[in-house]
Amino acid sequence: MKEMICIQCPVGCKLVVVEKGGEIHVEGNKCKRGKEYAINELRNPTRILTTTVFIEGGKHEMLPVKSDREIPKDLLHDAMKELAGVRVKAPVRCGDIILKNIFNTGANIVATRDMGEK
Amino acid sequence: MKVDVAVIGGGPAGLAAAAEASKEASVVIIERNEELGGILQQCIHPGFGNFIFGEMLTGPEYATRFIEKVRERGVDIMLETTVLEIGGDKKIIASGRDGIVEIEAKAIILATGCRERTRQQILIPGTRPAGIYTAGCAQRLINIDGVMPGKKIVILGSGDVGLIMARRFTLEGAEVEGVYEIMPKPGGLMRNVVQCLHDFDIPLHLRHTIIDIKGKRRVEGVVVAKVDENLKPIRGTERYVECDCVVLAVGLIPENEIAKKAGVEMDEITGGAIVDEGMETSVDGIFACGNAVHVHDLVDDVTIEAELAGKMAAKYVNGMEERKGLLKVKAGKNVRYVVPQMLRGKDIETIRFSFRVRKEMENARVVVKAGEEIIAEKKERIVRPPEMVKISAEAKKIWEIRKEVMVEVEEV
Amino acid sequence: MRDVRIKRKVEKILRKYGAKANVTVEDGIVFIKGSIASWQEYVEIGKETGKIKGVEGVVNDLEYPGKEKKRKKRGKERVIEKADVVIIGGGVVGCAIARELSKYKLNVILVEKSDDVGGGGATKANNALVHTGIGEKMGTLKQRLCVEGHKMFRKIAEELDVPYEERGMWIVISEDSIAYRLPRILKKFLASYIIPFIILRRAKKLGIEMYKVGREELLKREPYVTEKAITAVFSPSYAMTCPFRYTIALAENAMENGVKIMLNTEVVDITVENGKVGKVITTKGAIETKFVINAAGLYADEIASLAGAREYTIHPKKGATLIFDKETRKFLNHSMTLLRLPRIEHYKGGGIMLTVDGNVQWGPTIDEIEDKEDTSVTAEEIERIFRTYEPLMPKFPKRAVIAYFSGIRAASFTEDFIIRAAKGVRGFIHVAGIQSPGLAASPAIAKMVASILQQEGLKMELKKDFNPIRKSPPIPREMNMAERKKLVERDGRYGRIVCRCEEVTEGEIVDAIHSKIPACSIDAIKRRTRAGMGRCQGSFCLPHVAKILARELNMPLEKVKKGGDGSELFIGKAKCLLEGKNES
Repeated sequence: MKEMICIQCPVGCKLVVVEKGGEIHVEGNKCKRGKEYAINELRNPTRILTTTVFIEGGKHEMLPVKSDREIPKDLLHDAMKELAGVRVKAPVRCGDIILKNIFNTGANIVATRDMGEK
Repeated sequence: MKVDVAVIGGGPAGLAAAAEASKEASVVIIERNEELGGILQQCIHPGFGNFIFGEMLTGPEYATRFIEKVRERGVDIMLETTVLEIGGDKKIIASGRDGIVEIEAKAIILATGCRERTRQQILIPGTRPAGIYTAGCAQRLINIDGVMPGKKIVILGSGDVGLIMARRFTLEGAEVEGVYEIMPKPGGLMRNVVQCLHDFDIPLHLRHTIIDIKGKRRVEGVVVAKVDENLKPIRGTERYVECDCVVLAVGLIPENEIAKKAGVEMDEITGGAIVDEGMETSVDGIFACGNAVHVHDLVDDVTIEAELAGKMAAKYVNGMEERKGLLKVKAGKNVRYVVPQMLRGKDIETIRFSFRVRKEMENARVVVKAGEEIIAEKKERIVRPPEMVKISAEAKKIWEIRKEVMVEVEEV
Repeated sequence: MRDVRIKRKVEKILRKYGAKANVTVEDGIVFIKGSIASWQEYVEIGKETGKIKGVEGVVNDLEYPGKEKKRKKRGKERVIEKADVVIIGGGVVGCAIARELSKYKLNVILVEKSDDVGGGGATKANNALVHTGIGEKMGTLKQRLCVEGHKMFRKIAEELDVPYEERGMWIVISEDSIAYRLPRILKKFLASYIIPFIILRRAKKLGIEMYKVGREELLKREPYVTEKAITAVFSPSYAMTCPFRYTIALAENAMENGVKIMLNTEVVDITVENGKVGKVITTKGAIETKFVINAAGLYADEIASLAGAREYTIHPKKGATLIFDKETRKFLNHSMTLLRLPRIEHYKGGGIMLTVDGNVQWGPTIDEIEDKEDTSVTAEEIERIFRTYEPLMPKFPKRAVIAYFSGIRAASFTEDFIIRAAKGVRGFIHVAGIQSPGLAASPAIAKMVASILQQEGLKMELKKDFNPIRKSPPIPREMNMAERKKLVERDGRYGRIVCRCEEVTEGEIVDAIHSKIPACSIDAIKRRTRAGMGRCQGSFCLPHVAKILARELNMPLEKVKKGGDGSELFIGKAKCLLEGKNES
């Protein structure tokens, strides 16, 4: 059994989710989207990763980046460690791929801004 | 230098206002930082542009779109330039690397954003060691300057800024011991409570505050305590928490030094300028938008407001401003404040009222009254103080009635 | 005879407190050894002893529960310098002495334990008032030096190019002034006539200009002062300065005139050979010297101990102050204090005071504390400050606090300055027990020390080329527009504003970092330029100031300090916690 709060809309229904015999029962949701959210959160919770990477010769020390699609929640920490070692060179354009297909998730890590040289 | 519209501040408000105004007037943006984008450049998380672009962009991405827009429109940009004062004749004096400049503008748009409330302003007792940061400052240090403010963090304040930083610190490998919130409910959006705290098992201590900071040269720990209904610490609930960094997310205050000196009338409750439906202040030709008027939770609302300000400033400059009179707008039942605070009967068909409620209410009925007559209403499943509410009304109806306007909310 | 009498009196005090102790008195110096039940009683015994007539110093060695043992530090024995005079302590007093001695053909070295002059002790936390001397106990050395120092201050401030403004001070006498239980009409009479008369008579005696105004006049000149005010005495020459800039300017001018200043240099021992000082042993090496000036503030007693010249014990007294936003400046035209009787001894009461930079301050408080390093501000102190000063100006916007801090007064048990040659060690000069009015008295203290040195046999020949003038680096916000424009054209860094609350430019910060006494921490820059002293308290400018520091000193950003050892702002670069490394 898992308790969670649905974030699909501002109401924030408190859900109780139980998996019994391969089927997922959801209680507390005021609409259909809550059920979808609960199932997803239980089976395959994913998140967008946003962080920074070091950029050399750039206007700032750090370049903000994001995963261009959601990745499994339990890979976030490893992704952070992986990106800690990345060094990018200025100049960079918004959307440039910094790391392709991270951990084989199909998601690329992309720059979220232009950054010129110092 | 002479220009039609001078926009003070190059963050999301300034950029949108400048882009819009530049359609009909010459524009200069005066920005004190080394680049445009304002606070967006350090808000590297998603949550921007859901309404404007239909996408969940990160702050820098949102900024990039508008920076490109103003570049395309040929808007003049002055970076690392700080406005020192606005004279009586809307003459701006600013200081920058290239010199002290005087800018004669026909209209001014104040887009000066906001500042953070400090530890001192909330009178937290204790010592003054290194390691105490406001959330925005910590955010800048991590995301732009590339340094870590601490490794074991205590965060005071559960508004969105505090929640976002709880996640950011954790992702960067620090331990967030807890988020402490003096109110009985979290101050930020539910999605942030879930994705910033629950996701990382960071405890949220409601009805708690920090009552002492210890450490000689560097933070060594804090003392937290539970508070009563009057927000006063309860004896016996004190607990010492070891940490090396205290992050304060205890409120944003609109930045209005220049506005005040220029004689712009302020709203005591919002901390920002009093504006009309076209975002014009009490001083003719001086407009204001964005967090400088009232602190927003969604940048999309800032953009809408700023574009309106830009449009109306251009109109003003081209001698096309219309005024029908002056009506006051009041905050009614359960409403803390409303923007705009006055109406001048400008050439705007639909007036957008933005406000915040005093308390959380489910099944709420939002009503706009002109005199006694209801001229607009809507139902909301839930309204909360951290989430700004908007409701639109027809200007025509208001001016037909010509009475004071009031926005109120009741639980149905 | 005097010593015998004193001993008897002290024994009586010890009996009263039930102390297990014995007393020896030598040439007016009282040595108390033994134990007592509590720290509070330790302090009371010390103070009562200090009040005995003829006592020149109290060395209070009573043990109490929790008393901390002083650790002895290690120094370096190798002789690195030779001097005529070593000044121990680079606070306002040490620096004033350094400047004074730099007028003579002497080899002077000043050693300061912390990383900045005025950076380690009371100097960085006083309330910036140049007192006239009216509030000091009559007949004390501190009063005499305060009156003298105040008269010298304007000229010195001009020479050093530091702010000095005689903004004046009100001593307000209200219905709340007299705590004694007396009929109201008698209180009014005292307040309206007797008390002002006594103050004015004392002022006349000291040569200080003051005059009385009635309630109506006071309310006209200070519309926000309490309605309960009955009368007030105004002191037009009461002044204020910036203690940081003053101290730094003194040190810079001293250096300009040949004084060597060694920062981050702690004295760990003093050798005495044949009853005369020989060497000052520091953490950087030994300095051979003829004379030692002990201006070590809170640690003056410990320094004296090293030289075998124990004549006093310092008992720290904390003073907390609240600083208000500049927008509250409009609530008062002059500083003001509310007279309170009975008076707490050796405490002027604090008040609602202006500063040269346009802030308002409330305070300071006064509390005996155990720990010389306890600069915390407690909830109780904050509450007390509000309670104490609100009656003076009830309509003042109390919520507009932007900062608060505590300073520790280095008080002796005789509660007066101890400025004299040591009794048993030749060449060792005490400049101890300097609490308020140390700042105002500093020029006079310096002169007194010079004359003591002369009396003690140091050959003091005036330099012909002493240069009293020290120019402050440019401050754009204080310039007129034409000058400011020219300055920015010359160097664009004076146009880029870094601290927007106080309008401090990059040029000023760079100047501070490369000045004669380089600012190498955030706090040192703050004291010189005011960056970070505004209403946002650095929440905007800290990253920028830190970056400029790192750039100018060619150091990594993550090593920048707030002020002093162990005060690194950051624990390492971004990602340092992810890579399993932890740079701190």
